[in-house]
Amino acid sequence: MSISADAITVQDLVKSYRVERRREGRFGWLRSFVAPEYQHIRALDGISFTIPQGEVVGLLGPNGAGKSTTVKIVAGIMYADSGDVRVLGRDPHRQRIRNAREIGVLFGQRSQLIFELPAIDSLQFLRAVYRIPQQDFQQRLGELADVLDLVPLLNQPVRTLSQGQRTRCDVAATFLHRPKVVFLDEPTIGLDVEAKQSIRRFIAAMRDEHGVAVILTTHDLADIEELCERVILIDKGRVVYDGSLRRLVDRFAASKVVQVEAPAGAQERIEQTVQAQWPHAAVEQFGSMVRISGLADAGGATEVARVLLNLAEVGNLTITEPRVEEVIRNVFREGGLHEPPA
Amino acid sequence: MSRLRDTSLPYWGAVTAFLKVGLAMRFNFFMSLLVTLVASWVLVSVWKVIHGGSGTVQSAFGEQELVTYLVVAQVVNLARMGWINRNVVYNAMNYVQTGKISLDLVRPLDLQAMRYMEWAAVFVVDALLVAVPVWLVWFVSGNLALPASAVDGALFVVSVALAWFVMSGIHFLMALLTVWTYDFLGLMMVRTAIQEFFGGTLIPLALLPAPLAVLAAFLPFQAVVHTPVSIYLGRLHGQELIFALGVQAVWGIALLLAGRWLWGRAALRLEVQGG
Amino acid sequence: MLSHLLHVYGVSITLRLKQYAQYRVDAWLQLATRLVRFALQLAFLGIAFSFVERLGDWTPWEVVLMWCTGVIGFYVHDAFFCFATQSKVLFYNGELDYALVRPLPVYVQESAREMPFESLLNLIFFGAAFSVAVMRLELYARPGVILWLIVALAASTLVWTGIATLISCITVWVGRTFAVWQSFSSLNDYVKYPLDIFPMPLQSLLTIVPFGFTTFYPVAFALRGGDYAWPGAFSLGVGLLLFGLSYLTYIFALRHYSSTGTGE
Repeated sequence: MSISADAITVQDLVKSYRVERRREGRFGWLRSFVAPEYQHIRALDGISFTIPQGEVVGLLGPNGAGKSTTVKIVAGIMYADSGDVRVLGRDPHRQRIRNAREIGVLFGQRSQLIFELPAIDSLQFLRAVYRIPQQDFQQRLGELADVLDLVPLLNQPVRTLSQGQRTRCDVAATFLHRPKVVFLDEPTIGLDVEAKQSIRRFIAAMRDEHGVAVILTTHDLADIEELCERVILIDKGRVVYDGSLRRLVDRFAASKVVQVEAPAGAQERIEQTVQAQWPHAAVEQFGSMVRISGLADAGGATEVARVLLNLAEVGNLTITEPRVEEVIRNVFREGGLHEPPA
Repeated sequence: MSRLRDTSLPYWGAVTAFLKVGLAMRFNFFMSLLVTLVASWVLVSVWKVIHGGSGTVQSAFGEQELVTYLVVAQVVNLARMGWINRNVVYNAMNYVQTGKISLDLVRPLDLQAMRYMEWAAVFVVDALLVAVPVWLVWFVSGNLALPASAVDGALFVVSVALAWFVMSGIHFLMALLTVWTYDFLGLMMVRTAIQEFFGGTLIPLALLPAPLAVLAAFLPFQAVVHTPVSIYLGRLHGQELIFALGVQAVWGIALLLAGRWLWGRAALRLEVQGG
Repeated sequence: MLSHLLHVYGVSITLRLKQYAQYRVDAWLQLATRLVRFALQLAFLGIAFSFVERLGDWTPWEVVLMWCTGVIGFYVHDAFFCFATQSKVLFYNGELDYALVRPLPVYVQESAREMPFESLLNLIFFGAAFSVAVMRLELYARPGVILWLIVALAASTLVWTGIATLISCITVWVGRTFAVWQSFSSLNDYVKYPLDIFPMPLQSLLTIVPFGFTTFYPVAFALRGGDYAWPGAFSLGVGLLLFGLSYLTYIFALRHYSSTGTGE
């Protein structure tokens, strides 16, 4: 079997939607009734990227940026207006059925399990769909049940499961046929910390043991931090960053964060002092700490530290990295990725 | 005065909101109109054949009278498959089954009054876009008699209003049944079938065999279709007419009260379910 | 491939029945409501034939046979090809995502997954009425007629599946199409009569629409032969044509499927 080294290649994807626009004004509804008006919205505006086997890539971006659309096109669910997609060397639309045997998809907000029946029934159905031999099925089910701790859940009707339990069953359903490429759309949405952890561990194991390639879209950046070395940032239908998470943080976190210990009385004064010299910096107070972020560059942080250490009441001072969440938020707040501001 | 405004305005808001929704369903009413036209055409044609071959039917109705009965029955068929029914299905199912009904429970409005008002709005839209056009098409084609007299015409309108009252009662009860069953569509279908059979839409009630005619007389459905149609045709006079209108009113009130009672039970069940 | 499809279908139907078994009250209610509806429809024909011996040239059981052919076609479509009807909701709500990432035709997966129990009930009722009509008309001794009745049932099924699929797939372009489908299917109640008793314009309308090919034409041809040869033989062609057309539309609809209806 020949499999190209790249699990997924995407080139110049373009997709637009037609949306009905409601007319404004007092009798707008009446005019819409008579002659509806449409508007074209470009969801994807030339997306390209490549993902090799055995890599978990985080796909990030604000709502409406085009993440889901991208995933759905690559998974073979939707067609692009133009552009080229290859999954394991195949066109996921022209060869939808063949492609479908090799991929797994999970939409965290939408279950693939039959609501009224025990999860085992849904898994049996999938066994029939993917033609998994009974023996293999039992063995894989055993493994999955073990890792995801499903044993007590499989025979309960899905409707009686908690969301975390249900999602774990959904994850099992996604990986049951040993897909080589997996799309996970918000896999940990609405779950508690423990359930999130167990799903993350499972994904990491699938990548390391079976070389599964994963595209992960999520709002929970802890998922990204734990699973992805590489992230792709999408905004307004374009790829604005594609590279290592490390580099993104470095580049955007050239501005370090200064954390300093100070008694309650001094915190106000620190804030005033910092704001006076660095009006763009963000100052947060929590407990006995003051946290100063959003500084222009690393030099800035050193400068802030110097100024603060001159103040008498200041205790422990550390210069740290910003949280990934802050980095990403910054990227999108500035409306695209440019060189860090000087 | 201000108190009246306070309580009536939200309901009025519901009515206008519904009118807007109704008009936005541009296509649905058009389809409803087409279906009603074809259905009435088929029924009239079948009954004309039966009329031509049966002395019994001829002695009960003149041909034009029979045609008028069938067409007007379609015109006032408030249970017609189409937007009215679908809207009830949709709303009721969504409201009760998705738990949206709990939103209504916290609103300071009477749920039953809200529904009746909404259905009044739907009824007006249906009258404008379906009922009157169907009547006009048949009238222009020269097959239809006018109301027997001006007074009968006026009383027909009154009777149709009472029919709406009765029908809303039936709709409300049906909607509440979704609390107990998921198969609302089946209930809708069987209600439509029973209503068409015992209301006079498919068969003029005078032509029903005796035991079925008795059953029909004791069901609320004749108050929705048969009564207004009979008034239109001038078949009811004096005491009979007042009695028929009275029966409509009594059914309307009885169903309203039944709805209130069942609503209490349904709300209780929703609380138990944690709706 | 086919055996694989049938296997999936079988598993799916078993699960479907398991699902229904959870709502026992509903299952009984469905049985009751469908039975009442069926009885009332039959009663209407009974009353009509209490006034006249024949409708036009047709005896009561011949009319029952026509009516049942149309209705059985409808319910075979609804029971075994329910994607045709259901997909408008699936297209509208964007609920085909999972079906599209599975290695089977979407049509088969969804038809098997959503099979409506009530249609099976209706098939039993109308199948029984159909059989009684065949007995009463003593058609069982005439294999040619039986063969044509089977063709008639196939034509009826194809026409209904075709119409339903066409209407559903247009959802992708025009939004809701529930009204169109409901209009079509509710007219099914009105087309059980032999078309030739109708005035010419109505006959033409019901031929074009094309309900005539699900009931009257093929059955009239089976019963009376020659007089109805042209439209009778044509009904299977109409069915195939509609079905083929609807299949193409289905392919196009999947191309234009957007999983959220509008926007992202």
